[in-house]
Amino acid sequence: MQPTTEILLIKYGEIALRGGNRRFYEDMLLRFIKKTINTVADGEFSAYKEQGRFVVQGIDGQNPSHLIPHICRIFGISSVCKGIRLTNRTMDDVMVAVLDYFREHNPNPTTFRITTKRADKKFPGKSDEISAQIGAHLFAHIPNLRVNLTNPNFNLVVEIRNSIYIYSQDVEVAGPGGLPPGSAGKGVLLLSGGIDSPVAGYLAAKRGIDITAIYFHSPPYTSERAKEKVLDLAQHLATFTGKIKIYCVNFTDIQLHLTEKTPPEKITILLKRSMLKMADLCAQNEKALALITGDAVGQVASQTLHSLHAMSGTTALPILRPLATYDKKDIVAIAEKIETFPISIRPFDDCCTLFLPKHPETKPKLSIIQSIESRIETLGELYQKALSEAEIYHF
Amino acid sequence: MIYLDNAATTKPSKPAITALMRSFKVCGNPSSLHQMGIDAEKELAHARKAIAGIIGAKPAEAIFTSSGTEANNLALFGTAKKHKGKQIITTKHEHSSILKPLEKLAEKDNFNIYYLNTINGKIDLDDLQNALAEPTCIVTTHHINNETGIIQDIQAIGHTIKKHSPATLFHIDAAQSFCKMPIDVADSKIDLLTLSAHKIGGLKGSGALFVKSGVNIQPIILGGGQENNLRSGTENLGGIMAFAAASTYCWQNYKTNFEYIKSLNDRFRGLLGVVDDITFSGADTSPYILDMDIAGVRSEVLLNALSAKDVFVSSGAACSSNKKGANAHRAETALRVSFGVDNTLEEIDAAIHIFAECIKALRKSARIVR
Repeated sequence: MQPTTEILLIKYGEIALRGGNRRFYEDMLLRFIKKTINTVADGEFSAYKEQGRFVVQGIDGQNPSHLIPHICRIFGISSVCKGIRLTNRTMDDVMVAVLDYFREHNPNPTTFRITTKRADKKFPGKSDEISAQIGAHLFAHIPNLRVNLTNPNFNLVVEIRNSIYIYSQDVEVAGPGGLPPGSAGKGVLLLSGGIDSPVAGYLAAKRGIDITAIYFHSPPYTSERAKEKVLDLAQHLATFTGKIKIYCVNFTDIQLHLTEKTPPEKITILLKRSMLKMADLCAQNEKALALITGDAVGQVASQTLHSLHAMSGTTALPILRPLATYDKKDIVAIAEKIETFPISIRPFDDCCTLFLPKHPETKPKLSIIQSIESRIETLGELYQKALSEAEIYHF
Repeated sequence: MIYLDNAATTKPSKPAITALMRSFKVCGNPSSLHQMGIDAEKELAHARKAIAGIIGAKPAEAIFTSSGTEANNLALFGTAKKHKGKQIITTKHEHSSILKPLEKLAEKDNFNIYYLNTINGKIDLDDLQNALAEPTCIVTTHHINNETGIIQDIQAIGHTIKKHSPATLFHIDAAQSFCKMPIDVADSKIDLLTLSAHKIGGLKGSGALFVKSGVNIQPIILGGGQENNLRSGTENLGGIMAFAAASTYCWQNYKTNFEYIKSLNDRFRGLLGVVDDITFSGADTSPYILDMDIAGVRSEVLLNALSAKDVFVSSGAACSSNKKGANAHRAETALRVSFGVDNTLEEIDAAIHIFAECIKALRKSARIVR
């Protein structure tokens, strides 16, 4: 009997549809998979491309199952499944291997289904014929077996490619989908310690955006612990994105300056505009192509459509708001799933409540806001100074 | 770095560290029957004797716990079910490790919690006497308030309780006063007394409850029956030996320490000469804790500003006594500075300078920050 190798078969969704760019995305994803498996187990496993799939296997035949939780976090991957690989590609070899696999993984068989995917069209026979032939072999060797195509309790797949892969679809683990990390270019995420902005960052990163974060703090009005919380969030996001750079900008002087010169009900909008302008400056430094915020329409006063409109003119870059149409409970559900929620709810304010007016305006007029803003001198210099003095962390 | 948060915790003292190092050589389990166990048990007995002696108790009356919080929990949950009377008397100004268990007892076991009136933070003895007309299981309060430094007259409280309701138990949380001022459990008619190691140069994770002999309480942790069946779990011998060494050292020097701390406290009050609109806690408070109200500056913000300049203090000192309503915003502007024997006069002078600098800067922006 020929040796079989335990492998992980990795499927990717959307990038398989890309035409001329497909190879670019595939190579990027493969590099990220290699980086991930080397971080977990350096030099023990290899990964290679195989006609619409990636395959991970042990250098010395080690079982790669423990890599599944790490690989199924990678953006661009639609699922990960453990299975076996056959390098001898004759029907006899396939039937022997399937029978062994079947016995090992399904000791009390009742109903089953076999699906054959013949990606290598040169392999003799049609897919259904191959499935039937393997099925007949199983019937001959295992008593009391029945076929059930709609709801089998063992769902076996045979994929015929450069090698042959056998796996049970029942143990397939879903990945996040999306596009390979960093494949879309860079964006600057306005990250706070709240629930929304880390989720917005996650969703943007899932579409392949390479995230650089910017965080505004106001010491001594905000505490060192609030900053620690945001750094923890950034570090956690980096477990999905591979890496994150974060700017911690001291916002106190700008905040005091603006608060002094602005009617209280308009201060929130002006502060947010300042943050966007500084994020825009940061994006220029970083050669980023978009800003990303956690705004959800209507969630709070500064997120009404009027307020979002009043943010206009702060940047020439597109502002991506992945959560714009989300309800709070749906945002919380994602935050819980990606495990940023427990960090976000630590009780340290990051936008000092002392600066919040009792009755913020919900329908600010852009023209009025802009005219107030234009009368405040030295803002541009303060932005440049704060950004140049920002502390930068890499995760 | 100027550490002025000694009521939160203290650095381990040298004798405590020496004792801890020694404990690593005594690695037996005090409950084991062999020689190594006997050696460990001897150290435990020695520590118990040293600590009990300081409060005028018998060694067998000291039960080691993992913390002052655990001791408070044991004192309250351990007695509530064993003793008659559906009322428990306390004040609103207790540590959360007293208030939270009492909330639980009220909620789950229908205890009526009576919160005494206080006059400038001190228990109103007339109110106590009146409250004792109801059958009362236990009176629980603090000796020195951890936020305001106010000292309760535990002797007068003890005598009032035992005169008007002899069966009512008397529990004192002495976490802030142990080894800093004299406590005589017999003299003050105390039945239960909470101690904590890390407030006096011992280690975190170590505390004790004095339980007067004859007072019947039930354990809250069950197991091997250590600590006279009241606190199961293998004793934290290193922590306990360090606790005893720290206590002995602190108690031997308590008078000198007291005078020294008083001089630091007096010196710090000189801040008033540099910045105005500061109210310090009054007379009759422990010199170890200086509670202050700095008008126009939120304590949390000042704390952050001081921390950035390596001066470490604490906020969250609640309103002292019965100033509710009249001065409700005070909690927001109250700051606690607490001294330790390691602090120097030079540090106090430097701290005053930094305080003044921060307060002036924050008051300047206070007109902007609503």
